[in-house]
Amino acid sequence: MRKNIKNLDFNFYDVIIVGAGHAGVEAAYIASQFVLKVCVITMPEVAIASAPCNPAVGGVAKGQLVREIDALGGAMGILADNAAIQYRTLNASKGYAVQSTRVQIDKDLYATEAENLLLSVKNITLVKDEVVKIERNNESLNYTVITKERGEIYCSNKLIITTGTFLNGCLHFGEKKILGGRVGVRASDDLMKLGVGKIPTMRFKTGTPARLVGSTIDFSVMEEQESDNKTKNFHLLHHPFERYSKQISCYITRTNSETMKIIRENKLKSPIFNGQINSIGPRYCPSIEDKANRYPDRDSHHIFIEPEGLNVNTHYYPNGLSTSLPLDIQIDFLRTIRGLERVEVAIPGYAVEYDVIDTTKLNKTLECKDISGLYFAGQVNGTSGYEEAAGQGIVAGINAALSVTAQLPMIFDRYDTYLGVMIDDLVENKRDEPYRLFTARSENRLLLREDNSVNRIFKYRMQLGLNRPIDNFLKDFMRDYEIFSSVTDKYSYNKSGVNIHYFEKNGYGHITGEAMTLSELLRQSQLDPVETLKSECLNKFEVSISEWVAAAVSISKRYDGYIKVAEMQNEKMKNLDSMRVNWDLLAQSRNVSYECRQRIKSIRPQTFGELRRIEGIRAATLAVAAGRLY
Amino acid sequence: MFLYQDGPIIAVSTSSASNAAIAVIRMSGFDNIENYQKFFSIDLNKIIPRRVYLSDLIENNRIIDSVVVTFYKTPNSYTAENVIELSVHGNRLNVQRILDLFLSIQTLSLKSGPIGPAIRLANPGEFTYRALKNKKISLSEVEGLDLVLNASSTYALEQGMSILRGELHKNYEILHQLYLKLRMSIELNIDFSEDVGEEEAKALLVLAYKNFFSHIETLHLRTRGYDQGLLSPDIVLFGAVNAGKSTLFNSILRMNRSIVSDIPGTTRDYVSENISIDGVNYRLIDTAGLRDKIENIDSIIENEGIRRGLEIIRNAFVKILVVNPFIEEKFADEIFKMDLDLIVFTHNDLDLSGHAEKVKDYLNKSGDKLKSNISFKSGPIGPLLKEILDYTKDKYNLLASENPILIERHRDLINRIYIASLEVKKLFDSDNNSEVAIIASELVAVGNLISELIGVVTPSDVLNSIFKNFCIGK
Repeated sequence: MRKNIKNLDFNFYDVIIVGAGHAGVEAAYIASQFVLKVCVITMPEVAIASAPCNPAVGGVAKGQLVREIDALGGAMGILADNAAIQYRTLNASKGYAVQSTRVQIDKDLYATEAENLLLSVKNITLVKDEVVKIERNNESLNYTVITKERGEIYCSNKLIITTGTFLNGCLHFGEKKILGGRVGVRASDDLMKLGVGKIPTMRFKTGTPARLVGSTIDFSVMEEQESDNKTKNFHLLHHPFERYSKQISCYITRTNSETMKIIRENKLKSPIFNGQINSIGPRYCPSIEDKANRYPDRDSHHIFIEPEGLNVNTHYYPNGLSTSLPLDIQIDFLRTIRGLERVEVAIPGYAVEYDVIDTTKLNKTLECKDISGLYFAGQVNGTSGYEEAAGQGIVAGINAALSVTAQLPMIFDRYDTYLGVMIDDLVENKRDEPYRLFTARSENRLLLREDNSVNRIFKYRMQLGLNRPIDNFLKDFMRDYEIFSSVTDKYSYNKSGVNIHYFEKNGYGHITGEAMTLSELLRQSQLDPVETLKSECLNKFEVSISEWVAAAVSISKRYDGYIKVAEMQNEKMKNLDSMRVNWDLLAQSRNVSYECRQRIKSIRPQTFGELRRIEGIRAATLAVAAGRLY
Repeated sequence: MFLYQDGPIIAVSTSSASNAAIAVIRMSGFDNIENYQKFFSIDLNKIIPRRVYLSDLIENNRIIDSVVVTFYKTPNSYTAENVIELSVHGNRLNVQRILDLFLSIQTLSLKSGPIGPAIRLANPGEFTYRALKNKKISLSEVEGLDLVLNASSTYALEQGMSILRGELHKNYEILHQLYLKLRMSIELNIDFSEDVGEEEAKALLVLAYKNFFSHIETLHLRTRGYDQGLLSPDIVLFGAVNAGKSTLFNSILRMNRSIVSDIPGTTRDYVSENISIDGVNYRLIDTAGLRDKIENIDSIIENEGIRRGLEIIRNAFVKILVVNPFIEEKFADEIFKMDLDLIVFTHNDLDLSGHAEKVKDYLNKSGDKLKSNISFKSGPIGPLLKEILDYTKDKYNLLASENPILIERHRDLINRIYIASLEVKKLFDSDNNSEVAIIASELVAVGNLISELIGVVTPSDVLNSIFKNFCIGK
């Protein structure tokens, strides 16, 4: 506890967070666990942790990230489980390493849960007011934040900015242009005007599809996708398969040649193509007009129709149809789609342009290199997605709190966490498009799985030295893991008649060699490793193993060999990665192409690894650097 | 750098194996040409780069040779450094004396005041390394250069030139591109199948996989067709005493007028002569050392001469067994296990049908797989010789037409890439293609090898292996 809170009139806090989106909520929730005074200031008319785009949490790589956040003691897993109305395991057929959880959420419920969570924590103060001024006193290193309506002053040494798309936000509906952070919400002024200081910004854009009126959709002609009751909850303290809300379905339909014809004919009415928007949008989440014009040969794109809540009047989100065309054209092309022939639009799709800061100016703690005590997290850092925002929120929150309590910063390693992958990518690389996390960004994908999130996060959470229910869970988990992991390696089935019969009866195949260990049995590709381990524990040891531990132990057995080989493969690259490079010479070298030289100049890589990770760097440039031929 | 250090270097750039009319001595990396004024009769101050001057070389006021001097001023030289090339009289003693003269600079400096930094003998390939380091040539050009300098066949020479032009490298870059596409389509499958659609993603993956695999297969074929023969092809004659090897040897020599060298075989194991057929240099070898002993291989197998003789036969590009139908032979079976090219019957003008038994016997011994490869030749010496030469020419052209890759480092890497790709293929072709992530992880190994092929590896690895082949002075 701080003892030097001198002036209560000034509302002194240990950490102030501006913005209560997914990043802000995580930052506040984790910082509050350090028993600090935390203040969250948010625009009054915006819901807490609102989901302005797709109504889902998780996804490929993002699911892994949510589980990392959860094991770290974060909020997203709790909120997502509580608001989940449909569960899915993505990539279910592609092996455990790349399987990811995604849940559809009831947006209103999610926001309510988030607000209740913040309100339930005594040392978090939630202020719903617009920030009009931020000042920094260079001597005391204090930030003062002044709000509009109440004109109050909030003071802190640590300021975390999580303003999402609200900085200089500008909405585009066809040719119509409105200043705003999102529909019906004001934009924030830019950072300069707020007086934060000189931080280079860039302009990004993102888009969202129209929201559809449910009663005007014919679901009977679409493919139904039910909730999966075998998908585990995110939060470790929840029962893996308990459901906290009613479960409902999503639906799949497709665009056709008529749809795409309308979109192509109206190309010039889209602000993306007529020059109204010059910012760069995400390649990984293209608008339908992007798809129509980028793939002129393809007319059939699948569309997921996703409910935004349980309420009977809830809107539906047509995932895959992000657009900024004028409303009448949106309605025209929507109605060509099977099942949407009579559809009404509740809210038109739009594109939003906003300022993002140059994250190469941040440390791996997400603190500004040049302005101490100032952190940035979330979409303001040019990322896309709620999960990426939450991940940065927890990193900034942890590090602000560690800094207040005079502890060493926490840096996440890209070799064992997606948090580390994301932070590394953000601060090492100046991007020219919104950053989305996916598994390919990791060099160590076979290790960064959902099932072993506890194994990977344990050391980080323990380093925080907090003592909460989650910490007890993690310790118990690790103890059980060690025991079962070692038992599986040691327990073996010799080639006796009894065992041969036992294997046959259970469909385990043949006992290879003189005897076979349980670990070897778990590696049989035709078996479900989790179910096999659970039933062997009951049959052979007469103990039941928890769902979480069973998955971590059995799936690790399956991948250990591959991970070792992969690590050996990576070893050579890692050695090379740590080699120093002279970026200055490289940027002048005649052996390097012009574009590569430009990128090198702006990123200034210190090591070969940093050079290699710069997007768009050519193999030839790497060869030059590896051979020091610059 | 790991291999070489900076500073002036010197070396003889021409062959120093024997006395010759001219030898070229090359010096690179000195600051100021005037440092060496003391050794020259001409005024180095007035020397114009890239012009040719005649000068006396002077050691202690004594003229030791009359040489032609060319000065290349940095950066317009092979190494991009200051370079002097001296064409000196090619007597080996003379060459050595001149080298010693320049190498003595340090000692001289001690005696009569400094005259510039010490010169040292260049390490193998060091001039080329400096050219590489100073961006005069690229890494793959170095490999091409190696081939050009060491080629003893037109094919190797041409491949070397093609590499110098960057053509082979382009082929590797295509492989790299296809590899990246394959990786990308796997990532698409894992990370974006929701966005692009499951089937579309899968179709892209199958296509990318096919394209990559067909390219590496083609490249791999180019490493299989290779025969040492393409670099330095030997034609070996062997057989029993008095089989007629020497007659055949001399007949081939007489017929082939463009004899390149008259150096006789240097060991007692065999006699060899260089001949040229269609612009390709071959070494024609008469395995003299085997003459007396070939019949009795079992009893004297430990004899070193025999072992070496057999080694020569084994490595030969064209293996010709010379048989006298009128004498009894007892060849060891292993003779027939080597891929024989021709069995030539001498000492008669008869049809082979008269020796049907013997032919049958040899065919049996050589095993089924070789039958189609062996031709039995007989008849008058003129047409016989022509057949031998045509056979050699055809075999060479056939091999060359497969466009084999000659550089050992590339061949080795391509083989390893191919083997690693086969592992991936196994995963792909198995019904259980669920573990896309494992395929991706296996592909990393392939990718690392491809990076090595195109030069993205640790300097010590690649440069060491490239420069180890280089001779001093290059």
